[in-house]
Amino acid sequence: MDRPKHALHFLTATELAGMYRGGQVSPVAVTEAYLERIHRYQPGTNAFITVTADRARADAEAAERALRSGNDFGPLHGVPIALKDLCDTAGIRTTSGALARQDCVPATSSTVAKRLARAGTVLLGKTNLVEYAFGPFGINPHFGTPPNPWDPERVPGGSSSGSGLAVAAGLAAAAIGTDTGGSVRIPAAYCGVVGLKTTAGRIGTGGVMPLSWTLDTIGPMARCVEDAALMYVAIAGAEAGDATAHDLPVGDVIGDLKKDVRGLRLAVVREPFFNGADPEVVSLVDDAIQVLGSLGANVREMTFPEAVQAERDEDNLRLLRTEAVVVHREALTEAPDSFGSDVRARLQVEPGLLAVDLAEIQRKRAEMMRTAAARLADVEAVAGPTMLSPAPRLRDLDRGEPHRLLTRLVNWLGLCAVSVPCGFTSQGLPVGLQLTGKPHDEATILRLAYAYEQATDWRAAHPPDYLL
Amino acid sequence: MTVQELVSRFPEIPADLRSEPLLAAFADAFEAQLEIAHKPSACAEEHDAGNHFYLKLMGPIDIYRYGLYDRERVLKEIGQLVEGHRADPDGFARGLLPEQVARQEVRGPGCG
Repeated sequence: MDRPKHALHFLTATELAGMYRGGQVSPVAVTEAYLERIHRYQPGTNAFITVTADRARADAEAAERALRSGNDFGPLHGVPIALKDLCDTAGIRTTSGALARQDCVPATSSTVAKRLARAGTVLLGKTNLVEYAFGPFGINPHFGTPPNPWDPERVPGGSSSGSGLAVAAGLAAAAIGTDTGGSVRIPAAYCGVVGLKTTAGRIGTGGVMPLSWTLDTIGPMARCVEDAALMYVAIAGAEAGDATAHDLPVGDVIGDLKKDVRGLRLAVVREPFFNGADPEVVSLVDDAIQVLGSLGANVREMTFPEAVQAERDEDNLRLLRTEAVVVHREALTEAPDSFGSDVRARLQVEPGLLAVDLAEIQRKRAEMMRTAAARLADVEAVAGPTMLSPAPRLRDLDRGEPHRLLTRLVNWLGLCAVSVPCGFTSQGLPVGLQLTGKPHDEATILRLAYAYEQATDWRAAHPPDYLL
Repeated sequence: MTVQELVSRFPEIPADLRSEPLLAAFADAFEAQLEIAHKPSACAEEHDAGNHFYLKLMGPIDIYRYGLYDRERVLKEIGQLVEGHRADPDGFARGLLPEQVARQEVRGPGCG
């Protein structure tokens, strides 16, 4: 699973930045290499809903000209990236994975698209997703379900399915996902890439189709922690004209990334994070925690009752589905057949909340967020598996059994988390280590993830079917 | 199927609709489909014929329960279902299923 030498498509953003400035390769050449791969792999994968080849070439030429004339926009300058097709892009269709929006061309760009353009990135295209980002496995009946890059019979995870696949398969250097209950971290874990779920409000969601405005977040997906951190820094923080982002300082994330982790306190919470997990997943995650301990992290077992409660109770899904119904009210009432049956069922079959239920749920959540933050006061992060098991086979997805997702509770408790690859099962499927941090402390979980990543070599592994 | 049987099968039908004559016509017209219709789980990724019948036939009533349709609108939607069925019973019933599901054999209760 070694990286082929000189494979431009598996270079990191940091490596590309060095090579661009050293004159070893140009943004145009790298962009062409990516477009050639997308041309080759797109028909069998549906990783993208829209490939923006002309835009990518124009971006790359502009990036190259700017570099030549001494205008350097920073570490992402000329780096080819992809955006989940939930993020508006002016003049480029944005479908949200829905048939009803297949011809929707927004007039303005989302905050995240604007910020990445300002950072000098090259937009390769808009990636596939679960319709309206409403589902965890990556199924899309309208634009095709992308395969898992490590086993085409398995799902890639969702809802940011195309972003996970594109990054893992070398079809983009990095990508943007959104995460309302795990939609960055699930595909990150299943596809074997890094995925950062940011604290709500950290990144402006303006111009991104909401699923649940209370729980929606945006986050980067990348092949290494440093690239995820670079993407995060480029898009985090207040943005004029977008009231959804708060103005808390982002901090020196890149400067802190490579500091050692000695003395950082890492909690291991067995319940609910390990309960019911596949034994191979438990073993790999325990090994990863041991690595962090050997690097000097102060590892301790801890109980986390708020996490247990958040995982068990239904309030999270009730609020999410109610807000989703509000978002999709018009389509649900006027064109219900435009939804895939899976998303229609999620919207239709759950009873709506009464105003008093909604108020009670919000009150309970605010209290849980307060007590959870207090409980995490004595630790820097909580470590556990991102998913209880590796990616399931498409044909094995059960028909209605609720799936336990350890990712949702992080959104519910208002925390941030990163999923970083921590090994492979005996079947060659990637497993993710989830490091959950305090609200707005993305810097610390990225630092822990970076230290772990540097101490292991999982990031050098690429899916065999996509090496060439 | 009588309204009583329909309500017994789908207790989520709001009380204020149960005495509507249109509901009796609805239960009668779609007896075959409603007998096998069943509510899908919100977690399910795939749906069988019974799930599709539920989504299509009970859809307007679910949306009414949400408060997104008013009474007049839900009755109009149910009326359109009944009228569509009356015009072409077999074709309309077939149209309730996506093509790939319609190709599968649909077994009702008692089919073994």
